[in-house]
Amino acid sequence: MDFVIYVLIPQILHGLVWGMAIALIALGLTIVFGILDVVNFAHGELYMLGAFFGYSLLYVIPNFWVVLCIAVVAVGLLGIIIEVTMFRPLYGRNPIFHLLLTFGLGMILREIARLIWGGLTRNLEAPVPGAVHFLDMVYPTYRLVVLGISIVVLIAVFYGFNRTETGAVIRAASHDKEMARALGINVAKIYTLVFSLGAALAALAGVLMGPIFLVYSTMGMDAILRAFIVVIVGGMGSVVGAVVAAIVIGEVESLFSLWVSPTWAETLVFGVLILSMILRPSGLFGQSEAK
Amino acid sequence: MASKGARLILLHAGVLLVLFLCPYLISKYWLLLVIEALTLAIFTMSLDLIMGYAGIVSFGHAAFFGLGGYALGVTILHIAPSVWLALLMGAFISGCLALFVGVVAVRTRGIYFAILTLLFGEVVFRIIFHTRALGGSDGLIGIPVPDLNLLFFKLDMKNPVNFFYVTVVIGYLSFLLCRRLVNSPFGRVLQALRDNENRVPFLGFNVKAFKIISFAISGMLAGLAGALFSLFKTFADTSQLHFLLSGKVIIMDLIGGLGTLIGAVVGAVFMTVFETFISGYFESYHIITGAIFVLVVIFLPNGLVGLLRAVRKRGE
Repeated sequence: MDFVIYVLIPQILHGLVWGMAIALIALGLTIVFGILDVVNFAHGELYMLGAFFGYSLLYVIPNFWVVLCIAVVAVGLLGIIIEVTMFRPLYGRNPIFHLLLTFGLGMILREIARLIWGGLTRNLEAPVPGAVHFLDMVYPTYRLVVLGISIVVLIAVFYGFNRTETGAVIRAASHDKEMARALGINVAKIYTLVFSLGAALAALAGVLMGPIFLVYSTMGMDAILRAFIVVIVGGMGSVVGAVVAAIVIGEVESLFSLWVSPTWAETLVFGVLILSMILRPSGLFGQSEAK
Repeated sequence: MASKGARLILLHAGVLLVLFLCPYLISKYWLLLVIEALTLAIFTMSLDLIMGYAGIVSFGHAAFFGLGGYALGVTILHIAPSVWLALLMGAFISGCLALFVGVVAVRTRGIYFAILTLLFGEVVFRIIFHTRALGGSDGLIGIPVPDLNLLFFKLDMKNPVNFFYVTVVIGYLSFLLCRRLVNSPFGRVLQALRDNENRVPFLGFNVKAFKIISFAISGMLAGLAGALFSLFKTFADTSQLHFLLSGKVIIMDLIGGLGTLIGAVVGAVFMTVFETFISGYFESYHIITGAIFVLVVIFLPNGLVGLLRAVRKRGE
């Protein structure tokens, strides 16, 4: 019983927080793929930029939540620039070109970040200090706050895409470009908006995770692989799938860490992915076979 | 037509002659650089075989390249100090891995296949990274370079000039092999797959089998290239397995021109020389490399060879 209370429950909670964090990072990736058909390899770098913007802005503005908003808007604007200048010429070509383009873009952003902020690892200060006591265990309050925010954001995005007028317009534009255009929808503008939203979500995750994980110029590379797993296992473009997959992966990693070293637990996650690919190639919530 | 064939033979002879004279024309520094570029050219060619001809994009090709290097290292250090055996082991082990990855990943297509191979590559990277026996994050260092046994005499592979000639021979043979392969009936089916995957099954071909076999061959060649690379560097480390290299090799192929084989060589040599050149002037040269990626993808999707062909067409 002690094992359950002192070891298992904290570990399960930890896995849940970790899983929701991964879901938040992967959210923008899966939305951009679902609507634009673009696999954004630079998503991790946008996440990294968000964290670094937060880090620098905190010197100027001491309020974490204000900084969070500014960083999110800034990266969202950067997203607009990227979409308009780089993505537009490539629509209609093989989606692999977008993958390669963003791979190169990621390289550029990483190197720029290293030039500006150097190669050291940094950390943001948690805006909500302290810890919560319950069930005989102590848990950092901030992590629970992040868990709450993640859940709210995920629900908001899901609701926005599936239950609102704007969401319907966006889905229409992604489903049939020509038809949407004929109905007077400005498809180009919608694509820009969606990519900007994806970038902003990446930045949101970056700032929010800043106090929990370390901030460094290659943090995006480490995050993007996990995000890819989530997106593939969950079914590309599916928000619900991404959340479920993220929680499964968070729990697998967290629970296996009890018996094997965390580094091997991480590798095991990839094993889960391969297993899931063999059983369900299109992902847990994927729509039929890939295009 | 006959004159075209003769011209082709002349071209091959000319290129080989220039390569043969290379050690006398350029300094040792450049010779070492050319060796590195040629091993990477074999690697890029292996990717072109599937990406350029079959339309299968592998984003985890570095796994095969790096594993080939590790196989070479382990063979020389622990099994037998034979270059032949070590190179063959590199190709064999990577080929086996590629066969396995192919069998699993072939269930998906296009971009999904690319990401799945990326993640497979990451598994290989992590397993080797965490394995003490393989040197972990340091890699296998200090691989001795045995002499190459050529039946009548032994070639000292520590001499860069000899190494250069061996690389040229292996590279040229790989090129001929690839060209033979893509022009064979097998290669025709691959190209049909690239052009219209949905129609090929109606012609009675087993699409998956063709994909798996071509992927395995490609992995084998990548392993051979990696083994040669590690023999040259005398180490095998995890950066050879990293997905950054997988991305780089795709771009090399793209810069040269997809589906041309020779483009793969052009791209690999260009990128290697360019990166070495630029890194001497500018520490953060990754910005420039990244910018080249972006520009090539947007403006030059047919690569340098494609550009050359377009210019020649306009001239005619």
